[in-house]
Amino acid sequence: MRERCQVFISHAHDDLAVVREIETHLSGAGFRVMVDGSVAPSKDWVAAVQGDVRAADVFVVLLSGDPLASGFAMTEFGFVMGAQSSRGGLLITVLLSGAEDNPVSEYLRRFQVIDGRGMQAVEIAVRIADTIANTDSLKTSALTASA
Amino acid sequence: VLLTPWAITRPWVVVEIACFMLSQKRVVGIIHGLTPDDALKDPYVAILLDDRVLLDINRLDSYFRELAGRIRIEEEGGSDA
Repeated sequence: MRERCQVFISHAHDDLAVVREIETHLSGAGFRVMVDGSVAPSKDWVAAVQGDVRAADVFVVLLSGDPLASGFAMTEFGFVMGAQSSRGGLLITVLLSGAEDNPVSEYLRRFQVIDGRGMQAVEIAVRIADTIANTDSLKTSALTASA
Repeated sequence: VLLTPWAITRPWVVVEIACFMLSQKRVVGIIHGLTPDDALKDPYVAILLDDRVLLDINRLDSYFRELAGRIRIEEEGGSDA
């Protein structure tokens, strides 16, 4: 049995500060959080992100103003879509400021959505943790994470 | 994945390639209307397709001739077996 629920967070680089806060709160609650902070694309980066995505139980996609402009975000998003469609897994979309203009948000509305616009990072982290805890297939690992 | 002058400006190309890779699907970049160098100018496309097949169909007639040749060789090889 997996000891800790593993959460992969996909994001645009402009949102890295918010992501780090969310990471801190989720890690403090016992989740293993994987956030990529690379600054340049490379083969190592691709391998690392693929490994993280494959290991993840939960995918969190943070959407904000213009993620389509970010090759990092789009590559991560592609990996998440590939993993989610091939083996399943909880996918949580978090809408941040500007997400309403993002065509990706329409596509992702069929998954779990947290409207994080106007929320503090800690509130978003709590909502993510609650969503995981309320997902039947993840209850065991979520409880383990919060223990 | 079709790589045309219009397609390589769209971020969805990267999403598609990454999605297929993670799903362990075979990925082939099909180039039309640009050179292989142009197709790989986007750093993300370049890295993702680095060691994968790029198929140039700018000269489609040549490609079909080559394909027909490959099929013949495989059939002949198969009949020998």
